[in-house]
Amino acid sequence: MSKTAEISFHDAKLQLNGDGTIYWPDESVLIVSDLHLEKGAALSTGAPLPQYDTIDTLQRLQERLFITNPQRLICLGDSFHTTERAFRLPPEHHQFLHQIAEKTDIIWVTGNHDAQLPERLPGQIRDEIMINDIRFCHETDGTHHGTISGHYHPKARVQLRARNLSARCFIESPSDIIMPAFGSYTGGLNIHHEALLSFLGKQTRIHLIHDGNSYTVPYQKQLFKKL
Amino acid sequence: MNSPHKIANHHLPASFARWFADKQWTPHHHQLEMIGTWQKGKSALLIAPTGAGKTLSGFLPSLIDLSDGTYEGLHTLYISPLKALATDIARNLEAPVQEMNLPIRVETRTGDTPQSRRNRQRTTPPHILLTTPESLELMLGWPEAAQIFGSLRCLIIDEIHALAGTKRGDLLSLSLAKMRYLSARHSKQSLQSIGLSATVAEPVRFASLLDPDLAKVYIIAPQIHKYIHISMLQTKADLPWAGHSAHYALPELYDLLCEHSKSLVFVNTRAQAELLFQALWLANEQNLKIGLHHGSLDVGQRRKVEAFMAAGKLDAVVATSSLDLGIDWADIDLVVQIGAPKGVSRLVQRIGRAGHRLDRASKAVLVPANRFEVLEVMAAMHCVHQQKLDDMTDHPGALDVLAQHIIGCAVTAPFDADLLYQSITSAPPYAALSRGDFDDVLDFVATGGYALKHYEQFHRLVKGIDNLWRIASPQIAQRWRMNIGTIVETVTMKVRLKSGPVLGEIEEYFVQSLGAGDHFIFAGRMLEYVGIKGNMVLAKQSHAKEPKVPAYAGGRLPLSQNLANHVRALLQDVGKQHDFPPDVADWLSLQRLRSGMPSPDSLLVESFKRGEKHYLVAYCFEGRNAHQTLGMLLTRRMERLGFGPLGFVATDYAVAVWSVHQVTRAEGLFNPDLLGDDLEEWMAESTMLKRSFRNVATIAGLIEKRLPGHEKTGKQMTVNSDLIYDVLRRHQPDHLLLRATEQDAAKGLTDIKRLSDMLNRFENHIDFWKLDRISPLAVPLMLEVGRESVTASGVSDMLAELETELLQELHEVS
Repeated sequence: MSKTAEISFHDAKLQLNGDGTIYWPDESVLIVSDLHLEKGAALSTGAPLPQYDTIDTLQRLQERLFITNPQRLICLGDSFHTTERAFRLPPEHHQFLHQIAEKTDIIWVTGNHDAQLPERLPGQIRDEIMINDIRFCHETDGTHHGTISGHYHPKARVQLRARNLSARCFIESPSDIIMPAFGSYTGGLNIHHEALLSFLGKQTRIHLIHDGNSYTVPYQKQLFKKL
Repeated sequence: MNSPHKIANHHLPASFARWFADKQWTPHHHQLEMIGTWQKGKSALLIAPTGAGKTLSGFLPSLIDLSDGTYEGLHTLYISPLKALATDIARNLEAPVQEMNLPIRVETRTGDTPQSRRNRQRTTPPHILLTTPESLELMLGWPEAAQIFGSLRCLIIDEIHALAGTKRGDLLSLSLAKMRYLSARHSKQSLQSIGLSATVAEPVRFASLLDPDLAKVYIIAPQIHKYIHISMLQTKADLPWAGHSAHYALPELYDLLCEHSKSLVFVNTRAQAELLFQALWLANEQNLKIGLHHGSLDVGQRRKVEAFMAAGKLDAVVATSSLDLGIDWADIDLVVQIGAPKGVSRLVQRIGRAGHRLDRASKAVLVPANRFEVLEVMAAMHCVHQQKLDDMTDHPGALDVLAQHIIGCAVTAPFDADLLYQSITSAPPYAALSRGDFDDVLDFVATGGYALKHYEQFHRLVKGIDNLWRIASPQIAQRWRMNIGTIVETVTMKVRLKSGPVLGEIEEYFVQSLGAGDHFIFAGRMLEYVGIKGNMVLAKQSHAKEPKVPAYAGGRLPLSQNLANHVRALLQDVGKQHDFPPDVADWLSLQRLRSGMPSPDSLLVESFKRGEKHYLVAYCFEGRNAHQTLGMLLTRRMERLGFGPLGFVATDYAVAVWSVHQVTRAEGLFNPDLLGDDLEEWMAESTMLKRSFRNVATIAGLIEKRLPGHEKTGKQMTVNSDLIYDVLRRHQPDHLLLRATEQDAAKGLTDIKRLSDMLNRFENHIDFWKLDRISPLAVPLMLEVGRESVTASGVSDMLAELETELLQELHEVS
C-alpha cells in the first residue's frame, strides 16, 4: 500500500500521491502537472535519445487513472515539451490520449512550453480553471489565495543519516500548492532556488515523493540542502 | 615471438657513438638490441624498470633513421598516456637532436597545443610527433589523415602497461587499426612499432597492440638486477584494529623522512593524502620541506610541486596515483607506501620511483594502517620478492568505445560496413566481436537502435545509394570532436577561498554532504565551508583542530586477485615461520582458538550476536567492489527469507550483514543463484549502475560531456542520464547501452565477475561457525559498522522515521 498525504487546502480535502499527482475525491478530479510529453524527441537534435518517455509518462498516468477513476483530469500546463511537438504527435500517442478521454474529461491548461495546443487534442484547452474557490493554472502569480500550479518542478534534498536523498516534492504554503513535474524526462529545481523562496515559510510543508510514497515534512531551512 | 638473444649487437653510427662517448655513457645492451631489431624490420616490446634509459632506447632507431636529413613527412608517432609525459619527452629529445645537430623536427600535439601549430601540423607534419591516444583519434578524423599517416615508419607506445586492458587502450587499438587501414594504400614501407613498458606479468598480452602479427614482435627484457630493499615499518605504538590514516606510525615515519634526502610518500586516496600531509606538518620540528600532490589539486599547483621536486627544493612529497606514472625525477632515495598496496604490479611501479638509476638500490618502506593491512603488506612483500605480478584479466573491447569510433570513421570518410567490420576485428580487443554485435553498434550510432521507430529525422549516420555510410550533418562531426575520449570526469566543483585563489576541484557529491560551518581539509589547508556561489564552493581558512567531515572517497582500488590469494595462503600458515608483528600474531592465534581460519579451499562464514543484533560475516577476500555487491544481494535474499536484515558493511577483506534474526546455516545464502533475479532487480535501481550508464552514454555520444565552464543553461535543456536509464530499462532492457553498462559493471564497480567466480568456487565449501560472541577477525569490521550502508528499503524507512520525528517535535512545540 503506498503512502499518500491527505491535506485540507482551502476547504478541499486533497490526496497528494506518491507519484506526484493530486486527487480530489469530492470533485472526482485528478490533477497532474508538467508532463513534458515528447521531450525525448524534442531534445534529440545531437543524438537520438530513447523516445520512450511519452509512452512511459502516459502509462504511469493511466495507472493512477485506473486507481482513482476520476470524471475529470486536469493537466496543469507544459503537457508537451514544445508546441511544435504537440502538433506533430505520432498517431499511437494520439490514440493513447483518446483512450484516456473515453472515460475522463481532459482539461489541458496551457503552459509556457505549450502555449498553443492543437484543436484535435481530445478534451478542452484552457488558460486556467476555477473549481469552487481553487484556481488551477500553470504558473502561480500570487494574486489568488488558493492556487494549485506547476511550472517550477520542485525537488528537495534532505540528509538522512549518512546519505543524501534528492526527491521531487509538492510545496504546500497557505496560499499555494506547487506540484512536482510528472514527465519521465523532467528534471527538478531545488526548493531553495530564489524563484521558490517566497513560498517557503513557517507554515509551509514539503511533501517528498520517493518510491511511490509521499512523506510530509514541515519546512525548516536547515533540514533541506541547497545542492 | 622470438628470443632476443639471437640478435647480434649492432654498432651505433659514428656520430651517435661519439655523442655517447662525449657524455661518458656506454650504450646499454638493450639499446643496441633495439637498433638491431629495427634494422631487421621487426617490432619490439621493451620491458625494463624505470631508469633503464627506456625512452632513449625507444627513439634511437628513429633518430638514426632520420639523421641523414632525407626523410620527408611524418616518420615517428609517439603515444603516451599522459600529456605531461609527452611534453617532458619532447624536452628530453632536444638534447640529442641539438647536440648531434640532427635535421629533425620534433613536435607535440595534445589538447593544449595552440590552434596555429595544429593547423601547421596538418599541412607540414613534423618528423617526430608526440601525442596522446585522444589526440591521435582526433587527427585520424582529418580528411588528409591517409596522406599524413601514410608516410609513418615508426610507432612508439610508452607506458603501454597503463593503457592495456582499459577503455583508453580499446580506443587506441581501434585508432591504430584505422591508421593501418587508411595508410595501407599510401605507404611504401611497412610500419614498425616499439612498445615501452614497466615490468609486467605477461608481456605477450601487449605485443598484439604493436603488431597484429605476433611473429613480428621481439620482446626485449634485459635482465637488470635492480636491487630492491623493501621492509615493513616497525613502530612503538600498537597496530590499530581499523582505520586508514596510519597516524600511529607518524613518529617513525617522520624520522624516516628526516634520514633521507628525497622521499616520495604514496597513499591510496586523496583524503588520506590531505590528512597525512596535515599531520606531517604538525609534527614537522625539523622544518622539512614537504609538498602535496593529488589529482584534485589545481594543475598550476601540481606543476609547481613537480618543478620544486625536480629542482631538489623539496625533501618529501605526499602523493596519490597522480605520480604513479613516470616523469623522470632523479635522486629519490626513499619510497613509502602508506596503507595497503592493493596490487603487486602497482607496488612495484611505485617502488621503482626510488633510486631512479640502475646502479642504486630502490628503498621502499611499507606502512600498514591496520591489522588486516599487515597481512596484505606481508603478502605483497612476498610477491615482490618472488616476482609474482598481478595477472591482467582479459576483457572484450568496450561497445561504447566502438560506437564513438564508428562515428569517427564516418567523419573521416564515408565507409562500407563490411570493410569497417574487417578493420575493426583486426584490433586485438575486438578480434572476437560478432557481426551481430557490430551491426547493433552501427544501428545504435545511426538511429539510436530503438525498437520504437518513428523518428527518422534524428539519424546520425545515413546510408547512401552507393551503400556507404556517412554522417547526416556537419554538426555530427563537430559534436564528435568535442566529446572524444573515454575518460568521463566525475562532476566537480571549484573550491575558492573567500576573496582568494582557486585551490582545486572536489567532487560534487562530497560538497553535497557539507553544511555551512562544516570543516574539511583540502589542498593541505583546514577550511570552513561557507556556501555555494555559481559553480564555486566558497570556503574560508579555519583554525579548527578536527575536521567534521574528514573523508571524501575517490581513487580507491580493490584488492587484486593475486594479492588476495597470497593473503589467504599466508593465513593458512599462521603459527609457522612468518614474522608477524607480535600483536598481529596474538590476534590470529586467538582467531584460530575461537573460530576458523580463512583458507584457499573454503569460505569462512561466522554468525554471532552482539547487542540486539545478529551478525553474519563472510571472509571472501575478493575486494571492496565485489563485497559491496555481495552485501546488497545478501540483504535482499535475507529480507525474503525473513531474517530482517538491517544493514551491511563491506571492506576489501570481508562483508558483514546485521539482522534482527540469527542466521543459523549458510545454505541458501551463498549460492551462485544470488546472481539471478536478485541481481536483476538490484541493477534496476542501483546508483552504481546509473553512474556506469552515465559514463557509457557519454562515451557512446548519447549525452554530451559536461565541460568546465559549460554548465547547463536552464533547467530543461538536457535530460538527466538517470532518468534515461530508468525509462530505457523499463522499455528496452536489452538495448545496446544497457548491455555495455552491464559489461562495464561486471568488471568494475560491481565486480560481478569476481563475485560469481567466488560463489561457484565455494559452493558446498562453506566453513560455517555459529559463535557465542564476536570473533577476533570480526572486530575490525565492527569498527567500520558506524559508516553503515543502507539498503534501498532502508531509505523509505528513514524517510518515515524523519517524518515521525519532526511531527512529534512539532506537536511538542505547539
